[in-house]
Parts: sequence; structure tokens; C-alpha cells
Amino acid sequence: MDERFIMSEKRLLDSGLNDLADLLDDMCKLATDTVSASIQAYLEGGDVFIQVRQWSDTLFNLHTQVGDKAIELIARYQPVATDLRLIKASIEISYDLSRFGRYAYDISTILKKFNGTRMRVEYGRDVIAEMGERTMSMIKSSIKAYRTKNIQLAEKVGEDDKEIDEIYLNHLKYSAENPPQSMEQLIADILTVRHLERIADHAVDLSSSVIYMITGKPISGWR
Amino acid sequence: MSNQTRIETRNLNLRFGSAVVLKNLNMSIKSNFVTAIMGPSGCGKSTLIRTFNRLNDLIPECHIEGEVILNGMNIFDKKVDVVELRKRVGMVFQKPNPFPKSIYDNVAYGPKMHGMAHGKKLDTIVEKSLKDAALWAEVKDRLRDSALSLSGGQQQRLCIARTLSVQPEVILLDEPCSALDPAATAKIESLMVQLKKNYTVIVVTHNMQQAARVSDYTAFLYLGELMEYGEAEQVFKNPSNKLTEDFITGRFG
Repeated sequence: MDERFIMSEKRLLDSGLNDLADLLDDMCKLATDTVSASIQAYLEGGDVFIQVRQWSDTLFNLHTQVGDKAIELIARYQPVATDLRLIKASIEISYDLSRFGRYAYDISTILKKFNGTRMRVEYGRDVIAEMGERTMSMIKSSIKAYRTKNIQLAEKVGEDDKEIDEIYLNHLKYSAENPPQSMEQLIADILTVRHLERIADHAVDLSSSVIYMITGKPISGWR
Repeated sequence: MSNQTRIETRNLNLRFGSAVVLKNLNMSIKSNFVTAIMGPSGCGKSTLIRTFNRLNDLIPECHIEGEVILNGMNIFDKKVDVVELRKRVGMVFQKPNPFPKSIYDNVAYGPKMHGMAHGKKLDTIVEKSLKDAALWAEVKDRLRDSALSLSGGQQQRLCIARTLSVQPEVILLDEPCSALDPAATAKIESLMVQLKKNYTVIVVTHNMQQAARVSDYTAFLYLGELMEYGEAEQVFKNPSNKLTEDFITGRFG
């Protein structure tokens, strides 16, 4: 490139984009911890309701901050191309991360309402353990895909979701045919697998935002 | 909207003396759209649009190879009447340059010169041109005032009206808002979009956001070469060329 046209200084926009990335970094860590805590408590028992609610609220606040920062950057710098796509993706990724928190909170609410906070849920435990493990793996993969801008990893999350959907639907069928004696256990079980399935969907959405951010191509029909 | 090509360049090369300014440009510009040409200073964008109505002919040492086809006609053909060409391909410049005459006379000048109209018919042309340039409401009661009494933004719209008065096919605008304030700029931008209904509009701009706002098609020129040319939405959301990406995101320029 002709040396006349090389800009050595950092762009004003860059510091704003760094702020966005910092907010998302905080959200990624917190969202992972929040979902992990709620699944762990569901499987092993434990009083995490207040903690998960606080983390979920924090995630929502951070999502709001991402939106505010994004609007500020658009208004002040009129970003285009990769910058614009990164900002759009950041808004959507932060939404997905905040939804992780919200579903984790919903799981911990189920635990509190239907099962007490210290009891271990037995019915459907193996399925929820498997879905929980797979869902956590999808969360981590989607976050890693975002951090490393890895398209292949993002695409794999979409594939993983098909397995989650299959486990989910099979379990619904099984539960209808073999309900537990306790209606509360059934409700807790069905709602929890539903929330895990939705968390997995948001991991797919997060991954599709990563692909959009990198390639500019909208992803449709993933789920 | 039509989908016809209004101007096409074929292997267009231009140099001033030994300085090569345009390199083997091939692009087709569609009728009834706004096409923006952007690129860093010295990339050849003004030279390119000045080629479209042969203004570069006035510059000594200008050598042109290749063709510029306007509606099927090579504008460099010896049979082409350059005055007629400039009537068909009008131009508006960076700084408003009204004649030191009345508002009316500025707009009437072209039609009178070309023997197109006089009397009532000329009045009609002046009124229509001023309306099309979104200036009529502001000047209809002061048509005999000096054009120089108008604000910068009004003067630029007067220059556009002057261009429209001879019923061109193509309007070239060379950084038409660079000397205007934001309100006047917004009016000119809105006008550009209005004008594409009846004309082919080609605008050179340094202002990347302006190109994004007004253009249907956007070209990126770099050191005399056409690096990228496509639909504006595509160019600004997902450019295919790394240099375009770096330019529009302010990484160089």
C-alpha cells in the first residue's frame, strides 16, 4: 500500500470497540458461571437462588450497557463494514448471554419452588445431567468461537444443537409415557429440560452472530 | 427504475504527461440510480467524472485511451459535439459557482445559449428547474435578485437548477457538499435521491457516510484503479476488497 495512506494512529472508534469487547468478556464469564451453578444445584442440590438471581440481573444490566455503548458508537462514528457488523453482533451476543442468565435463574427458581433449595432431583436426573453437560459445552464453544473468531467452531455448535433437540423431544415423550408419582417433580423436570433446550438455542444464535460478524453472511434456518 | 446502462467505460486509461491517473477502468453506470465514487485524495475520482463530459480535454498533456460510451456512443468519437455532450452530461462543482447574474438569469443561461427557449417557455423551464432543484419556494419572489445574495447551500442548489435547465441525461456532482453546512448538505443529499427519478446521478465524495446515505451503487477507486464497485449496501456492510474495507473503516485515507 502507498505509504501516504497508512494511518499509524489508533482510530477513535477502536477504543469504543475495546469497551464493547470488555463488556462482552465480563458477560461471557458470568454467563458461564451462572448456567453452571444452576445446573449443578439442580443435579446435586444447593442454595444458589439468590446468587443466580444477582448474576442474572448483572448480565441483564451488562446487556443494557452493551446496547447503550453500541448506540453511542453508531451515533458518534457511523461505523461500516466489519466495524458495523461487530457492533451488531455484540448487541445480539450480549442478548444471548443475558438469556443464558435468565434461563439459569428460571432453573434455580424451579428448584426453589418445587423442590426446596437443598434437595436433589431424582426424576430425569440422567437426562438433565447429559443435557446440562452438552449445553455447557455449547456455551463454552460459542464463547470460544466468538473470542477466537472461529467459524468452524461456531458451525459445530449448530450441529450440537440437533442432538440437544433430539434428547429433549425424546425425553418429553418418555415423561408423558412414564410420569413420576410427584406432579411437582414432573413439572420441575419438564421446565428444566425446556430451559436447557432454550439455552442451547441461544448458544446457536450466539454462534450465528459470530459467523455474521466474520463473514457478513446472515445465517438462517439453523434451528 | 430502469436497469439500463447509461455510461460505460471500456479499458479507460488516462494520464497527465507521464503521471498515470486512471488505469484500465471498466465500469458501467446504470440509468436512474445514484452512483457514488469514493477513494482517497489523488485516486482519480474527480478526473474520472471529468472524463464523462470531456472536461479533461481542457487540460494540456491529458492523454486518454479506451472508450467512454454514453448511450451507445463513444464520447471521444471525432463526430461528437463537445458542447452538446456537456449539455447531456451536466456538472456541479465543489464550491457553488453561480454567475454574477440574477437567480433567473443563472438558470435561463443554458437554455438561451442552446437556443432551447425564450419568453414564456423559458420562464417555464426556469420554474421547473428551480422546483426540481428544491429551490423554487425559497426564491420565487426574488428571481431578479443577484444569485450571489443566496446562501452557500442555496447557491449550490441554484447550480444544480442551472444544470437541470438544459435537460441533461447525467448529472455529475464533484464533492457538492464539501463547502456546505450540515443542513444545506442534507438538502443536497435529499435532492440527489430525488433527481435519480429523472436523471442518472454520479457523485464524487470524500464523505464516506454521504456515499452510504445517498448512493445505490458505490465505486472505490485507489491509485487510479477500480478496486470495488457494487451495490452500496453490500459495499458498506460487507466489502469484498480488503482495501475498500480499510478505507471505509478509516484505517487509511
